[in-house]
Amino acid sequence: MLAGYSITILFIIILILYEMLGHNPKTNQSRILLVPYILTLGTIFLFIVLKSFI
Amino acid sequence: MIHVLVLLFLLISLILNFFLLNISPIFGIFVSTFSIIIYLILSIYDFYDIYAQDILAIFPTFIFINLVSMYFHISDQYTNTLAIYLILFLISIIFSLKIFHEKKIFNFTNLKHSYSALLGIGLGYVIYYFIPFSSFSVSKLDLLGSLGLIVLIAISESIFFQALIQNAVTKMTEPIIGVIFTSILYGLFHFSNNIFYTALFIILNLMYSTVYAVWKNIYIIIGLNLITSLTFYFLTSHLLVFAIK
Repeated sequence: MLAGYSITILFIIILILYEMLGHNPKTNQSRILLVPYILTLGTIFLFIVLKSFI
Repeated sequence: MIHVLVLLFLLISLILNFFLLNISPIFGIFVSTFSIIIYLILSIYDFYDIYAQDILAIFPTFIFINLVSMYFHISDQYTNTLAIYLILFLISIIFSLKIFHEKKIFNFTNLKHSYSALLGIGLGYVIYYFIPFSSFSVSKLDLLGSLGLIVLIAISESIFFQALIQNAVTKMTEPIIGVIFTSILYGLFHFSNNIFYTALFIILNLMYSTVYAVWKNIYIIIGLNLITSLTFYFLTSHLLVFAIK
């Protein structure tokens, strides 16, 4: 249960980081390092949401 | 010097995370989430001159996998292993195709040295000799499921440990430190209560990493990993990961 919450919080924080980095041309390159985590966390987050509905 | 200190910091924090997750899960989950964020922020605002951003970006995968397997808390061995290795496979494939694409991980070089993969038969026999598998219960897996898992394990472990971590550490420091660091991580990834098995996995990965450092070909390592697991499976009807869990 707690792990599910922390995964959700992690997903939101990494999304915010990704969004923040895009507006700074200096760090725009390094935001690509976050892409694998966003995709994986997004998949698991989707799974958590679907599991709570079904 | 500072490179080795960064690597030591990573190892110590990983061991601390494992320890906390086992001792007190509630506190451990908070610390894990916090450290994943810290690693990612450090990798973004990197120590620009020491090329640490690659290893800092890849490293949270360990803690992340622990966190996810704690969320699913599956008691079934097959599903648990499948979930862990699918996540590892997904992350390592995205990393290697999207980010390390220009480093040409999947090049066909030194293919004439593919015979080194046959070393796996000997490695499988050596581990069969050292692990007293009779103390484990017989696994309930059918042949097809085991073979599928062995292929998935070989591909995801090879790409993650050799192609991503060893390459990133070698770029930071020297090849020999890359080999040692990767082996310690591999031992920690297959961590169990018995320290002897951890040492066995470290020695196993020393062989993989040395072969990769010499020939620089990921296909040979995938073959080596596959042949070692297959030999071990046919001798004991256990997967090489199952023997420790």
